[in-house]
Amino acid sequence: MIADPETDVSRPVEDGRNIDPRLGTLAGEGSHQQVERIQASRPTPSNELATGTTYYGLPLLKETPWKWAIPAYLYVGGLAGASAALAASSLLRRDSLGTIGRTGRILAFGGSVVSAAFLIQDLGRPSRFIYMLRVFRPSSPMNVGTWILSAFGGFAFGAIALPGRLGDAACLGAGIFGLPLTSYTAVLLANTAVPLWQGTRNALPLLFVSSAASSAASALELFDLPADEARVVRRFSIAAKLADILCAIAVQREANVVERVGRPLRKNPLWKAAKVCVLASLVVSVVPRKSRWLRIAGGVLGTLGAAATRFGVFEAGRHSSRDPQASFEQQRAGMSLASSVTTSLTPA
Amino acid sequence: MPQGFFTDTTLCIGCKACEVACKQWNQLPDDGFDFTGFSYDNTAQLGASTWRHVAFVERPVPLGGTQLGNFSWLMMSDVCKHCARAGCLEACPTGAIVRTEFGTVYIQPEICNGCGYCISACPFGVVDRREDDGRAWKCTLCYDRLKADMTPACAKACPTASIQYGDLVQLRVKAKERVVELQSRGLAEAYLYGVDAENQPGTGGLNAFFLLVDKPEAYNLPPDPVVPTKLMKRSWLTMAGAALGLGVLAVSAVVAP
Ligand code: SF4
Ligand code: SF4
Repeated sequence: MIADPETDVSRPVEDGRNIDPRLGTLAGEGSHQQVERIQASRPTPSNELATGTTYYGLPLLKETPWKWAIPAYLYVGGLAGASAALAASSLLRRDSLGTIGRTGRILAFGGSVVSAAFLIQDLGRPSRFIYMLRVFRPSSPMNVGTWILSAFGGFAFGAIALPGRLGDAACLGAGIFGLPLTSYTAVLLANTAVPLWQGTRNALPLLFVSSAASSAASALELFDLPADEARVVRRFSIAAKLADILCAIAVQREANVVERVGRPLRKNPLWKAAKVCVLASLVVSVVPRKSRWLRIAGGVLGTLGAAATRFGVFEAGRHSSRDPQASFEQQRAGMSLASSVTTSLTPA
Repeated sequence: MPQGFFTDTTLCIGCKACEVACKQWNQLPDDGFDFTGFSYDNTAQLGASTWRHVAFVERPVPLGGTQLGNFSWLMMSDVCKHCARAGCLEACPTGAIVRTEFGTVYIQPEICNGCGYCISACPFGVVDRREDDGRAWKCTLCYDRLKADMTPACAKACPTASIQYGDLVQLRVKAKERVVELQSRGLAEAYLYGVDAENQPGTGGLNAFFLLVDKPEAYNLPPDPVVPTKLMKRSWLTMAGAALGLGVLAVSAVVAP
């Protein structure tokens, strides 16, 4: 006898499975899927439908579920990595670079803790974060990156916690792991089907490294430094910010190879703001013998620019995954791996 | 021996029996009722709780071999493609996604930590995360039924044999014969999508491939999908070069007089 759903109290939550527990057990492949709310989440047709064949304008790809914590990590991780690199280099001149060394170590360790917190917070199952280290998988930039971040975090902790020589050795370790930490995230984004990220796979690592360097330079500009250390930061800062601007242009050019792919980046307000901020901050850094406040202004502008760069790339990527035409045009234009073969097999 | 699906869209009548059978067998929860308003397709997409999805393509174009005038109605039951080189599997950082003994791609729910990377790495937009569950889900190609030597629920339920399950080598032969047969009957548009590595080099071929009669975009399929990992070699090299450059810059900023 089928139980009356209105009166049967032993019935599981109304989640559409319609299983009467007296007649059947929940043992299917999807039976452990938890349901709190039943709600339709239909994709919205893209509003840029003007051209070409699509399936009612629906997105081809699923949008990334990542929230603000991921672009925030892109910034913080880059800052920590580049700060560690600078702190490790300052070991070469330990006598005179105390502030850069100390501040760099603190930024590195603090950054690694904040990074881990952001990444764990964004997981669908945060309690299982440690599963990231279950395996070593070179094919997954996220897995490789978690190993890099873990090693970096360990060394960065040693660099502030261990005394003397040991601390210096740990600082060197953090500096070495800090280098890939600034840039693996670019490969991580590029290793997706998102047209914008995949389409900028060669220039994005350059941008992320130089943006990380200018984050660290800008953070150091906020501190009061002795004259010789201020000179070091100034040199580093000018080079980093200049590279940052050039690489941003390179990313935009690579994205624009297919107009539709580059469009969301070109139109992204954060991306535009980032370029203005970094440029302004570069101008401030170039001014010689500036006042303390001018230096701080340069640091603030640079920090805003670096953060906006990461948020801009992230948001524009999310936007491009909603546009099915971006993928279609990218693949038809031969930007995918083997189109010379496939286009002869799939009708145009 | 790799097993797979051959979905012959010319046989699909849009009854959605596959969708229902899949939901029932796998005991998938509801993901909401909604009217899309554009066609008989009110499912709209594959998702965490929807592992088969029937697409309805309405075109003001005649179909070869039919006498319906300037109209044709194409239906396709979409599913995870169980790619020979799967973007989801190669991207998964926890090793939750594995290749089974049947050559299918399977997410182990007890391992997945919901990082969401597979979602962006799938070039077909198949896998998704259910927010209230926190993990990624997709078609398992009825892993439990396969282990018990049974046909997957959708293929079993399909009344027209539009979904055919079997040994991949045999399915490919069958599918190629079917294309020849359809073309000889006037349906010149018929072709196979993702039947093998030669047909779709970017993914190395699909273990769940399709017979289509319009270009892939019409069914919301990518024309030339590629597993992103295949493109990454140069990115890793650029990354390494850039990271070294940062090291050189940091050292030279410090040691310069
Ligand atoms: S279609 Fe997507 S989810 Fe399915 S195996 Fe291929 S990459 Fe993975
Ligand atoms: S969401 Fe789960 S299955 Fe997908 S990549 Fe992350 S750990 Fe792997």
